[in-house]
Amino acid sequence: MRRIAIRSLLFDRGKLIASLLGVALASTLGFVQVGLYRGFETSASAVIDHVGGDLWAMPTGLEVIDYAQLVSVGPRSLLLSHPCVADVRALVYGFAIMQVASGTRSSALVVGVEPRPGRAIPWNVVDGDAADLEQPLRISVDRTDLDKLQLTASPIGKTIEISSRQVTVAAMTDGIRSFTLSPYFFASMTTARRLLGVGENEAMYYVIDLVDRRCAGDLISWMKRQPDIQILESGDWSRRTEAYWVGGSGAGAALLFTAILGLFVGGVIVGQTLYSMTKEHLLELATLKALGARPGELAQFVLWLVLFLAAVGVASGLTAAILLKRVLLSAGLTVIVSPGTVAVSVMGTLLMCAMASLTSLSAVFKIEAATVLR
Amino acid sequence: MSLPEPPTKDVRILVRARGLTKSYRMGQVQTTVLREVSLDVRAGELALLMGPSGSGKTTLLCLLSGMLRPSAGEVELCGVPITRLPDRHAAEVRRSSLGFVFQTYNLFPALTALDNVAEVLALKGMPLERARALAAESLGRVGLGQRLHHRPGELSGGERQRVAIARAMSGDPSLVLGDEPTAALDRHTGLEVVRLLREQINERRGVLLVTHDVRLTQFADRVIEIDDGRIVGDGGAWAPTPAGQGQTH
Repeated sequence: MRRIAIRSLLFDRGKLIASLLGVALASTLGFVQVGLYRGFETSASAVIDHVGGDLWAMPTGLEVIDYAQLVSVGPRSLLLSHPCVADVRALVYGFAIMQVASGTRSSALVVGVEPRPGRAIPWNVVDGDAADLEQPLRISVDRTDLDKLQLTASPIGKTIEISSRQVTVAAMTDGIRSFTLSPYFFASMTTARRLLGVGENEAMYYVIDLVDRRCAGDLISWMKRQPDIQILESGDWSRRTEAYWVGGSGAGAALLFTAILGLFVGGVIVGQTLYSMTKEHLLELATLKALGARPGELAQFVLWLVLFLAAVGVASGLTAAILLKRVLLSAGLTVIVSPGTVAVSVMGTLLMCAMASLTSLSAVFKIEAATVLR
Repeated sequence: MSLPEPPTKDVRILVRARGLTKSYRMGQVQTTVLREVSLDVRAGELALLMGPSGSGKTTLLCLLSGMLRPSAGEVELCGVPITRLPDRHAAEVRRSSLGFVFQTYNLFPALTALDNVAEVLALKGMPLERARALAAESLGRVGLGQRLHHRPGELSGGERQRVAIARAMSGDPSLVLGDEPTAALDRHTGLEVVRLLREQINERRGVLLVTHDVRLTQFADRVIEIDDGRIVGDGGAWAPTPAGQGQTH
């Protein structure tokens, strides 16, 4: 039945093209929207995920990393006194006003974190040297922000005014974008503190590395004696930040809606094609039933058509998403193509095709062998 | 109605129908299209089922093949009481015992002549390579050895019907049922097709054709006439009446 189904589909070029376009469009939309969704999430929590650590300490009530506030100095030594704690790194993070060459002023996010071996901050450096950031008033910029910063494609050595100070670009990263659309400037702790006007020992966050991750609960309970400090596991903090931006801003819902709409439209096109093909072959299928084919065997006609379309849809959607990834990145949108996003998109495409096949399957199961003799 | 007789042990009787009645209800109106029909179809014979439109020919064919259930009566197909079987098992009996030839050929337009035959054999569980070899052999027997790789759209009506005959014969069925197999063909081609069907008959196989075409009687061993749901004639010879109605003797 597989050969009958596939050859029938390939034979009717008009329907083949219509259904392939439908499934490819829907699948591409699915892949891109899911990739964008994940891209938004990843952008929102990128700093948390790359700085790492087991726990983060911050002022109580904070919902999202971008709304950073100064945390008191005391907890650092308190944390270090706990036997579970291996290391505590200070992190400064906040908005500063920058001024580009044309005189335009806007906000930027300045980040500085105490280094830890194996955790390169910033990451994905494509030009310059991250080690040069240790020199005074040196920053990194991201390639995707060059236009906004009015910098050339080779920005190393160029200057920008941040918080009324001239800073020099020492490194360029690629693909580090904030959900708030403000450019990220990574710097040494000293430079970041100067640009954000933060005191010598002050920080917005303390990133805690544990001796043993199983101690996390003990440490969190123990720190409850400090009511102005909340401690969150890195994963929770990352998800909370993602939920705040992607969920709370409505961007996630918009992406989800577009993905569902795409799958719905694709499903209607595929469903129409399948149904029309099934109707066209009802006489032949009834003939097979008259010759003794079982309903399950006849249903395979539709199922093979669906599987073929789904496979083509997944392949074209994935290819298009990979091709669009670079184009969209240059437009400031990050599309993540990962095993997770692929799995979700494939499931969506399969679900769409399965739903689209229901009316055709129903028609096949209703076939009466006797119709061939009427 | 009398109790059905036990399954026949006579393998030469391919179909035994007893007291077949079929009624349909449409709203408040009940229409009886077949009334107490009994007949046998034997191996080695080509039987024609003739009668005017609406006489019940097609309904009888559906009942004999187990595609419809009678309102009353029994059908044994190759010794199996098919009317008592669930649809699934009735389909199994059709699969192993019956071949069909239709007026409109009912071939898959996307498949070649070879594959139209081979895929049916594959559906019956035969490995594809063997099915293809057997299909090529069947098509060769109906004179299409040079047209194996042509699709139905590239064949004439007569050639398409030959493909359908090859498909019907390829599973080596005991009984071949035909529903107006010559109606869409010109005179010459129609007669060729029936001659071909005639050639497929042997001591284990029979053919029953529903037709309006009186010219086919020259190939028939037997003509069964049906009118208003009743068999009104069943004999080996046939002669047209002045009113155009057949009469068997």
